[in-house]
Amino acid sequence: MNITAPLLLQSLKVSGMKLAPPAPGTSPEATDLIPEELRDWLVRLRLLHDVPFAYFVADTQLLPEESIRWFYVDRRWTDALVQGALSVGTVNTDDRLQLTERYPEIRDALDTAERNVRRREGDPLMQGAAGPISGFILRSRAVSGWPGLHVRAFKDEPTEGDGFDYPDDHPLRMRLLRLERLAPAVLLCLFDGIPKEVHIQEPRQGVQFGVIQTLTDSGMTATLPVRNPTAGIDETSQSVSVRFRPNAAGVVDIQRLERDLAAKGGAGADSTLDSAEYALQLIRFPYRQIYGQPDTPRPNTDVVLRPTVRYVTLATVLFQDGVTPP
Amino acid sequence: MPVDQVPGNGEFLLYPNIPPKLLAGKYTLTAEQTITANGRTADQLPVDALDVHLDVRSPRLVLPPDQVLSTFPPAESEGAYGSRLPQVVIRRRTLPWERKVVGAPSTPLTPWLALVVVAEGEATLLPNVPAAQTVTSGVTLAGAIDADVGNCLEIRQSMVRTIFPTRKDVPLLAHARHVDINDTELMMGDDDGFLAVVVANRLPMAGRDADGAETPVKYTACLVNLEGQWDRLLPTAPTPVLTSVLIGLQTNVVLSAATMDKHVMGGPTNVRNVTDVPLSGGLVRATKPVDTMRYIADVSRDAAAAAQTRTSAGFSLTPTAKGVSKGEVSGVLATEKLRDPGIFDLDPLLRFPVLLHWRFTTIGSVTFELLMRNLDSGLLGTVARRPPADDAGRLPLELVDTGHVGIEQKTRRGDSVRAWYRGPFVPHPTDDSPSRRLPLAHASDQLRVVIPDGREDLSLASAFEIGRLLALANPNMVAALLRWRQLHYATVRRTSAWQVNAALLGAIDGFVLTKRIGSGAATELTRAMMRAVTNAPSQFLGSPRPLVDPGLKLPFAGDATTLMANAFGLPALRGDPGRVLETLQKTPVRVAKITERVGRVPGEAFTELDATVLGRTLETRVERLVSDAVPQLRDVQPTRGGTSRRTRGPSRDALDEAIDRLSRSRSTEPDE
Repeated sequence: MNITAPLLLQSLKVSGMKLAPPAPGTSPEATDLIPEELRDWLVRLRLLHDVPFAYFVADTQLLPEESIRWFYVDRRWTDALVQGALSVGTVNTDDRLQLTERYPEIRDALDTAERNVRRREGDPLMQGAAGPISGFILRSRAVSGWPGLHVRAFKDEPTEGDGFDYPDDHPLRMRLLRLERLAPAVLLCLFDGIPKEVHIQEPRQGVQFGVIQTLTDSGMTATLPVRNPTAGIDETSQSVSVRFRPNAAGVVDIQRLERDLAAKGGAGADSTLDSAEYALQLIRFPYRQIYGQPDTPRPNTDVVLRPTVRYVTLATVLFQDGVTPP
Repeated sequence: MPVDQVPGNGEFLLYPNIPPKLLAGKYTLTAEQTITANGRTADQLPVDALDVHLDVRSPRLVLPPDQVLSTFPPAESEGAYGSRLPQVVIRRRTLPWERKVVGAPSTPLTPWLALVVVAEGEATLLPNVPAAQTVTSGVTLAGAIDADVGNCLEIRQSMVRTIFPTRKDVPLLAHARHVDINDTELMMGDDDGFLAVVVANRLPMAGRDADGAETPVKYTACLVNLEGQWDRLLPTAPTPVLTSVLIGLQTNVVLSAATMDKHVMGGPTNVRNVTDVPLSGGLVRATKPVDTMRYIADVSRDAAAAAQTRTSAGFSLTPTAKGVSKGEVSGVLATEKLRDPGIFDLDPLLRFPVLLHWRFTTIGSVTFELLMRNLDSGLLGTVARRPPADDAGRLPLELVDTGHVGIEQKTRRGDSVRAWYRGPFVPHPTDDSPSRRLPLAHASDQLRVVIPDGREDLSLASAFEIGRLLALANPNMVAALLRWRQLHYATVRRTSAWQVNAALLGAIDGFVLTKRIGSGAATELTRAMMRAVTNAPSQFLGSPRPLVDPGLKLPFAGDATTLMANAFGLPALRGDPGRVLETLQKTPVRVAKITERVGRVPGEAFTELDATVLGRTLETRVERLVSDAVPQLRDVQPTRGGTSRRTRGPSRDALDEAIDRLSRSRSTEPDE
């Protein structure tokens, strides 16, 4: 017990302490930290939201059509951006002194908050100092024509081959800080770190059916590789030409295609294709472009998923008497 | 069930069809029972047959929204979908085979649904049509219809033969799928993993304009009901071609009435091109003649090809029309005049119920793979392999290895000079160690740098300025910033006031004088003080009074009378009893005069309200005390009656009685 009554009395006499009651809605923490809305806005600013595009790419020659440009983010630049925002309303020396005192804390708070921007509900909070940020700008018709591109960044080379789906919380996956279309054909992506390998994938949107088409001045021709119906693998040596109904733009002669496929061995058990076998032949898998310098080349990396599609003509079995549908 | 029939991870199984046990419709289930017994025949023990009526329902005109798991291409989206067949995924696996199309073969089992893709202007989607009119007149849908109104596609017979699947195609375009129920992407929100898929027969390609450039084309995908109109489909496809035509620039022509007559009669026509004919919404009919534009018709760009279409579709105009030099009239955008039965019996308008429709736009037709393979990939700062052709007259790009580019700068004095600029994206890693972070600047001028070549580097100054402007552009942020600063000032003020007593406050156990005093510090201090006081009460409140005071020691001296008189403190009581009595009578008795009632404001009447409030307060306190003391009594309901006072106290006690008495007496007493 260090305090004594005389000390207390003596001290209270000299102090004019008058404690304000706690203001409603302000927690003690609110005075110590930067307010949440302000912090979130500054983090958005640090990730270059709302910054005019001309400030990113100062000259069109730096980002020609059909190009992808990789970059590191200059933290000094983003710091300057935040400093500019914080300078609003600093009228006199006191204001500036106050800002000078608080600035290191603000910067640290933003560093932490920045890493958790795209954190999904339930993921652990990222801690630690801000690491480097990198990213790319993609200017291509691929951005405008395929809304919802998937971008996946990897800290290290994925060792699994095709068909392995790395979930978002996989340790190899690198967090995206920002993935946004700045213009219809311009995509900006920021990574929380420097990825070893980046995959840009065609949007999956479920399983798609289609052909491989070639456009000429006079019209469109298309081919379809014949897929081995039992293995589900493309037999690239075999392909059929897709035939179209005359004078009907894009209308495929479905039946003729079926006959052609059957002739090339695309049919299963019997000589004709049923609709399931037909669908199997038409399934197209999304394309994946990989950027990086793989140490060990991996085969078949251009297709996102290569599931072995088995076809079953057992609908009758399924609905046989006594068999309960699952 | 064979193992084969459960899809593994990343797998799915395809079925050509999954027919339902019962097609949609009304059924009667008849249960008959035959009973025999010893010596009795079945006739002697008759049992009535039991009829149970069943109605197997299935969507017919409208597909319930929850049955649609996905559509591809996504509704209202734009993209390069030209190499993909549109499709719709339906939750109920049996849906495409739940109805029977009259006339269609049963092997292979024919679905009653087809997905047709209609380009802008090829047909008309009519919304909210009475159910009976959603099919071509003359066709009736037997049986129950699930909706009063539905959508329908109004389309020329010739166009049906152009874009609808043939009778042979339809069975190939629907299948069922069994997906792994753990694969969310394939499941798409289904419940059992079984899905039905209907695929279209048309690649929705982008169009071409007159210069050969690609133009967007709007498509509508319609899931149509084929019931009753099987014979409208082509039996087999016409001889196919290897190269599909592209949707060209639609040459819209305006024919005057007279021209139309000439056209039909084979005379020379005076066709003039019209652009920008308003075809709003793509599928809205242009039924009203617009002033002199009596007839709007598409003229196919290739007369011969058009003629072939007509022929193959079993349709041709009257022979006199063959002489028309430039194309034939396709009936898609026909006007009222063109509805003359004489002409249009040949190419009637058909209607198909549309269960589901969505729109999308195809732009371009280059493939994703091709685009991605040919991307020019490099670090920012890589100059294009060939400069764009249209930058004649511009200064050559001034670019250095650090990523800086030379830009025009107009100084404050108005001079036009060159400066360096580099955006936030740089082609090399930056040093982000804490010591290298940018020290705080308060004005953008602090960040202007003159580099050795004499030019200014404006990169950071621009960043500062754009940050400032962005903050200023957002009033909420300005307000938040000022509010936060104000709050901080208040905290600092408070802290400095408290720092005066730092020596004292620091000495209090359990109270940490932080660098900044928050608004909760007072509470913290109070608690710490209370702890300090209770830990050593003698220092603050004095020594506690002993529980029992020792009694006074009485002096036993003299006789009993004197002793008693002394004990009473009245020595005069000694002696003669008569004098004692007299003295006692004369001695005034001091009686305290009670002028105020305790607990009341003087002069105020004690009202009923006071009594109620006091009573409630007391009850609450008593309850709380009791429930704290005896927790298990907390849930005991009071036995005492009364509606106005619902208390959960254990029972009435003396205080209750006192309050009641007081309030009773006060309420009957007149006011003071």
